[in-house]
Amino acid sequence: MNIASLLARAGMVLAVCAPVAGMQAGPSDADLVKADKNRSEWLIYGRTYDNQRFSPLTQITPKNVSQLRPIWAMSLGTLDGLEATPLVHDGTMYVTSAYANVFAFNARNGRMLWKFEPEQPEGLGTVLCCGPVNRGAAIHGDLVYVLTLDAKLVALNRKDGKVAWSKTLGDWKTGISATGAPYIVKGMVIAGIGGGEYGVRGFLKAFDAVSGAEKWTAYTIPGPGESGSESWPGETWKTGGGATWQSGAYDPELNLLYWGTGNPGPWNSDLRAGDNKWTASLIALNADSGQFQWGYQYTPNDGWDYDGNNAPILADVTIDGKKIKAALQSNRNGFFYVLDRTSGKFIYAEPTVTGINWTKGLDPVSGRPTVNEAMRPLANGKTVLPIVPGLEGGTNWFPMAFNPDMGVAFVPTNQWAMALTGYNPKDVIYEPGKVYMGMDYKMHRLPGPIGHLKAFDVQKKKWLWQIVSPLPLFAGVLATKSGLVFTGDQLGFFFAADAKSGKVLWRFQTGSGVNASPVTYELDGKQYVAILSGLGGDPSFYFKQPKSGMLWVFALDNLSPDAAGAGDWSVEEIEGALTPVPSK
Amino acid sequence: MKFFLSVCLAFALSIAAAQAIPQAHQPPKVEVDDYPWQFTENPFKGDADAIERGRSLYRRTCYICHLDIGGRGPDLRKSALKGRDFIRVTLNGKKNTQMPAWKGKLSEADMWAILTYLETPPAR
Repeated sequence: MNIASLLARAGMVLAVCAPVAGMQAGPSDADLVKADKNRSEWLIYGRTYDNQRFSPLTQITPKNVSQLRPIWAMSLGTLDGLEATPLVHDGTMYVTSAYANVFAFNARNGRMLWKFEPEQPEGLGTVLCCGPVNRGAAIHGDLVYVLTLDAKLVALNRKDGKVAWSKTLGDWKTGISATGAPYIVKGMVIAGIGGGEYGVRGFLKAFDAVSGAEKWTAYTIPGPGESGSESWPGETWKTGGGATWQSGAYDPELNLLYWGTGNPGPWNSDLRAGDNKWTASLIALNADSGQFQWGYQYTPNDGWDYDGNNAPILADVTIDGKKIKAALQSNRNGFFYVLDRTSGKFIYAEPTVTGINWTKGLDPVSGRPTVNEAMRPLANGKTVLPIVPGLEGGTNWFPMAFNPDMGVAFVPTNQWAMALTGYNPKDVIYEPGKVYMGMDYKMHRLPGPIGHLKAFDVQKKKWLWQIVSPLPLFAGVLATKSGLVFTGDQLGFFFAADAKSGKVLWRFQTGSGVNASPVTYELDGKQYVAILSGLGGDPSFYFKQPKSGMLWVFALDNLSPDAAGAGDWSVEEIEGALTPVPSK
Repeated sequence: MKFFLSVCLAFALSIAAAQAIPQAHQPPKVEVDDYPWQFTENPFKGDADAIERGRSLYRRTCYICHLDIGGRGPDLRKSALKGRDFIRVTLNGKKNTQMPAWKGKLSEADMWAILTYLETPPAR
């Protein structure tokens, strides 16, 4: 391990010599816009720009999914949490592990094509609130993009994983990190940042996808004189949070880029009286210029760490007889929101958990919450409990999926509570690179199972079924046209359910909690389902379960021995393998 | 623990050796790290100001992982690490874990203050 970590520190690209043969051109902007028509590949974090995580593949069905079996697996070599969504293009799977390592695998048989290990500066872990995790890569043309924990956007050659260029988003020593998947829109790579717990003022940066030239920066918190700045007293906007640590969604017709923003900082809402725009919000930006168009704030003056980071699902639905171009989001604060994505207008919201007590309810027209002040922790040393939902949600960052044929969203939710104790103001100290939360927190379980995977008919406003788990659900969801729903749980099970009835039709024990998101793709007429399994990031705070770092791929039939790719290895190709006997 | 044992062993050996073996054959002094220590042992025992400073620092650095009861990291109030061993892990981090190196981010005095706070039973 010593040599390996030395190499990693030197930032070496470990090029395994199985060349990416016959390389097709990489996805263009037009290919990404048409990703919904691309049945067999997974080109974007949410599969398509509307972020529905819905696959048109139908080989695997409710009738035959019980025959699904693992056909290959790969160890990614880290035990500190796997949260990525794999991408698949031209027979190659691009996946990231903890530490923002990037892998290219033969998507048919798992043979590693190349690996990139970014340098980890010493002390980086001091600014990572939630584990050294990474949620995935992005691909465009000849490049693969990854965000590194020390807040760099790195572009790698798709062919061999060598660094093409690298751009710094901010100074990690001040608490800026990056854990999300970069997002490609109109020839630009959009990068979000983490650091809401370190007094970072949130922003997005856009870079030219080919050259890396910086195009624009969009702050999530307005500066003095800008619209919304009146919602921040004094200088609190400078350290206000609103981090952008997830990916986005994009509507090419409206030319709007949608992004969710994180909690404000410090957590004591009374130290920053005002709505604190645009934290805990959905913001819509002009996709070309990054100019702010509108925002919808889920939780004004948030005092509960209810980040609003999940990219919305864009869906065209009919609600109460009206056709709506909607944006759907299941929030940390315990509500499932339906917004009009052309204007940010609130359509309706539905509680996803029971016993919500931080608010007495949402205004039926604007969705603005009336806060239950008894459940608002203040900067006074007093503990407030039990607040429902706990800060982890509701629904946390892991993406839900949507079946447009059914009009149903499949939403991972968690039923638990928290205690928050705000520090006295003299103890709420901002120091660059140190935590700026101002609050002690503790999650608590409530009676009954924590995790509930729920199916919600968005048009009928009806909950259809649920699948429960004793531990919190912390994985993304996949929906397929054949009527299946895939996700994983913290006991280690990756499972498939019937989208109509919620009946679990297949389960596989992967060996560690699933905190990543499943994808499905097709090659040579065979449908594959892939998932990363490895507890180690934020979810590992709350319970002890085995850690792992595995990529699992499933299909209905085993690979033939030839297709498994065993025959074409030679020892010379294998890194670090023995040297021959030296000649005399 | 290893350091302590090897120091003990070296000490015992050197005592034994001193009886019978000339100076030149004394076992070498065991130096485990080349960090320029400011303090041999905790300079802040019982120092109320340092405990308060340690509390404030703990909450803005360690708490997010260790909480007061352990979380992603172990419960530090139950830690077996004492004195310089605790400081050493704080300085250098722990390989193959998420425990980072705080060298340069916290001063050695800061770290002793945090340790003092942890070793002081909580008021409530």
